[in-house]
Amino acid sequence: MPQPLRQSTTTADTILLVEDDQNHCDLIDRTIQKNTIDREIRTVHFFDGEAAKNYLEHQAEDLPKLILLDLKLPKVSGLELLAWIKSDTSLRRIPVVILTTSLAEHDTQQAIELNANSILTKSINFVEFNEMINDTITYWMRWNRGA
Amino acid sequence: MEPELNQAKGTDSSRSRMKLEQATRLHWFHWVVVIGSLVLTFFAWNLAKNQVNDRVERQFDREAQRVIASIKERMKKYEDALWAGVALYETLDGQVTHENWVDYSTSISIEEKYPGISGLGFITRIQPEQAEDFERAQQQSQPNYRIHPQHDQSVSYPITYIEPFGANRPALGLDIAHEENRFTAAEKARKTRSAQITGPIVLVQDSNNTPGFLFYAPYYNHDNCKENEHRDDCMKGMVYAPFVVKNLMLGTLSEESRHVNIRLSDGGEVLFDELVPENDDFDEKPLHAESYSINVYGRVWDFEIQSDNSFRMAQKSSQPKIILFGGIFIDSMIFALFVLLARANKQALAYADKMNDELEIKNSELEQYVYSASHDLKSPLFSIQGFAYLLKQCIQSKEYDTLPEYIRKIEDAADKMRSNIEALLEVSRVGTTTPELKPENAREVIQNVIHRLDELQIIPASSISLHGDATVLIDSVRLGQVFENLIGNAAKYAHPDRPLEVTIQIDDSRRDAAEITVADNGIGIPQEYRSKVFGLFQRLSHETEGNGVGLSIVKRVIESFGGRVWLDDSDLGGLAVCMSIPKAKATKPSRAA
Repeated sequence: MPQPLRQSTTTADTILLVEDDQNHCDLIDRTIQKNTIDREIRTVHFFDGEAAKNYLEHQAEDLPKLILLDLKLPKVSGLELLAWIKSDTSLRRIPVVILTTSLAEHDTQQAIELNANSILTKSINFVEFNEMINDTITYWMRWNRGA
Repeated sequence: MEPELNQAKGTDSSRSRMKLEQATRLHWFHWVVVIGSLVLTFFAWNLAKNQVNDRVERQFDREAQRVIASIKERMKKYEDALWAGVALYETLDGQVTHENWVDYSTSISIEEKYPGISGLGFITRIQPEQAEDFERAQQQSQPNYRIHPQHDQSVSYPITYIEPFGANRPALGLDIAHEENRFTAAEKARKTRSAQITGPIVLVQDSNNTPGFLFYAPYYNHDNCKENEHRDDCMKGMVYAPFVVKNLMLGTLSEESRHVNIRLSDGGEVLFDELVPENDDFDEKPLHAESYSINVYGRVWDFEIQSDNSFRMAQKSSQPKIILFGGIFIDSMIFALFVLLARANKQALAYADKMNDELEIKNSELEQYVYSASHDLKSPLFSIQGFAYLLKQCIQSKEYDTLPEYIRKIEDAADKMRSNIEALLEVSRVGTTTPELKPENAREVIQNVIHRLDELQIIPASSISLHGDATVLIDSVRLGQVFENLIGNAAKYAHPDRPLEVTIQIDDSRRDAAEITVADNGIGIPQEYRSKVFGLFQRLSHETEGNGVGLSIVKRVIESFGGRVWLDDSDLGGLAVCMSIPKAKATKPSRAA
C-alpha cells in the first residue's frame, strides 16, 4: 500500500496532485494551502502516474474532491491516467484538471476527448499562477455542486 | 494565407502523385498500341503470304501450260512428218518401194529431228484374201517378211515398212487389225481422213513393256478406187509412227527447266507417271496441283500436273515469316517497354513514398523535440519564477529564515535548465549530422569506454566483463558515447542490494550485422515501460539524476549506423540493452576461386 508523500489532517477535503517536479509540487501545494475559501485542504501528492493509480485503486472511501494532473509523467503518463480514471465508474465523477507546463495541440485534443474537466497551463507569472490555482479551487471546491 | 498556400501545394503534389500512380499501370491506350501493332503485323504477314501464293500460282500455271504446249507442239511436228510420208506416197502414186521408204526416212533423219519417235513406217490396207500375194510381193525386198498374227477382222493392216529397222524388227509384218486399240484408231483415221492416235498399247518392239501408242496418217488413192467403193474404202494405207510414251515425254520435256511433275493417262490408263515417291523431285504435299484434259488426235489425254520439290525450293519465300516474326518481336519489345516504364514509375513512386514516410517520421521527431524542449525548458523557469516571487515576499515581510532555501532552489532550477539545454543540443547534434562510417573494431571502442569510466571512478572496470569481437561500420566517437550512456545507466540504476555486475557480449555469428548486448543486474525496467524509454525526456524515476535523453541518444546513434536497439530481460536479473549494427561489407568472395 503506497503512502502519500504529504498528508494534512484527516478530516479535510483531499486534492490529489500528480506532478513529477518536486519544486512545482512545493509551489502548487503552497498556493493550495493559502486558499481563500477558508477550508482545510489535504494534498496527496505522487510523482508518477503509476503511484497515483495505485493510490486510487486502494482508496475505497475518502476519494479526492479534485485531481490536479500534469501530463508529462514517468511510467504511466498523465493522459493514460486520465483515461483510466474516466473509465472507472467510481472515479470518473472526480473533476480532473490538467495542469501542465506547455500544451501541444494533440495533447489538448486528446485530453478533451478523454473528458478532462479543465485544461490549464502553468503560468510563468507567479501572481497569475496563484490566481489560477485559487480560482480553480474556489470553483471546484466551493461553488460547484455537480461533482 | 499560409494554410491556403499549403493546401494548394498539397493538391498539386497529390495531383502529380496521382499522375505517377496512373503511370504505374498499363492503360487502354497501351493495349491499343500493342494489339493494334499485332493486328497490323498479322495483316502485313497475310498480305505478303497472299502475294507469294499468287506469284507461285502464276508461276505454276505458266509451267503447266508450257508442258502441255510443248507436247502439243511436238505432236504437231510428228503429224507433219507423217503427212510428209503420205505426200511421198501420193507423189509416187502409191508405188513406194522399200528402197524409197528407206531413202525417205533417212533423208528426214528421224533420230535427230524427231526425238521420242521410235520409227516411221507404212501400213498397207488389204483384204484378207490378198494376204498371201502381198506377203510374197514383200518378200522380194524383205526376205523374212511375214504377216502375223491371225485374226477374225474382215480387213488386214500389215506393217509394210518400218525404219529404222534394227530396233523395230519385231513390228515388221505385224497385222495391227489383230488388236482392238490399233484397229479402232486405224478405222477411225480411215473414216475421218485425219491423223489419229491409238489408245494405250504396248509396242511389240518395246522389250520393257511400257505404255505406248501409234500415230497414223491415212493415205487414199482415189484413182484406183472401184466405182462402187465408198470414198473411205479407197484408203490404201497409213503412214505411222510408234511411240514409247516415256521416250516421247523425256524427249519433249527437258528435265532441268521444268519444276512440275506430270501424270498422263488415256481413258483411265496411265501412260506416263512421274507422281511416284521414287521420283527424286516428287513432292508429297505439292504447293500446287492441277488437272488438264486435251484432245490429241482423237484421244483425250488427261494430265495431272503437280509442282515438285525444285518448285518448292524456288518458290520458298521467307518474307512473310520474316514479317510475322519480326513484327511479333517488335510488338513484344513495345510491350516490354511499356511494362518496364510502368515498373520504373512504380519504383519511383515507391521511392517517393518511402522518402515521404521518412520525412514524416523526421517531422514528428522534430515536433516531439520542439515540444519536449519547450516543456523541459519552461519547467525550471516556472520554479525560478515561483521561488523568486516567494523570495521577494519574504524580504518584504522581513522573514529571512527561508531565504537560503529559496535561493538554493532557484540555483538548482537554473542548473537543471542548463543541463537540459546541453542535453537538447547533444540530441540535436546526433540527429542532424550524418556520421562518417568506417569499419572499426567494436571491442576496442568499448574497451576504451570501460577504461575511461574506470578512471573517472564512475564504475570500476572489474565489475564489467566484455566478451566477443566484431568489426562493424560505425563512427567510433558516437559508439563510445552510446556505451558511456549504457554503462552509465547500469551504474545509475544499480540494485541497492547487490554489487553491480555488467556483461557486454559481442555476437559476430550473423553475416550482415553484429549483435551487442549490455546486460546488468540492476533494477531493470518493467515490460510495460520499455517502449517509452527511448523517447526524448522520458524518465521512469524522479529519484535519480538525469534528464531523460540518454537512451534517446543511444537510439538515434545506432539508427544513424543503420542498426536498431531493443530491450530485453537480463540473465543477471536486470536489464539487457540489445543492438544490431551492420558489419563492414566484406569484398565478395570470388565464385571462381
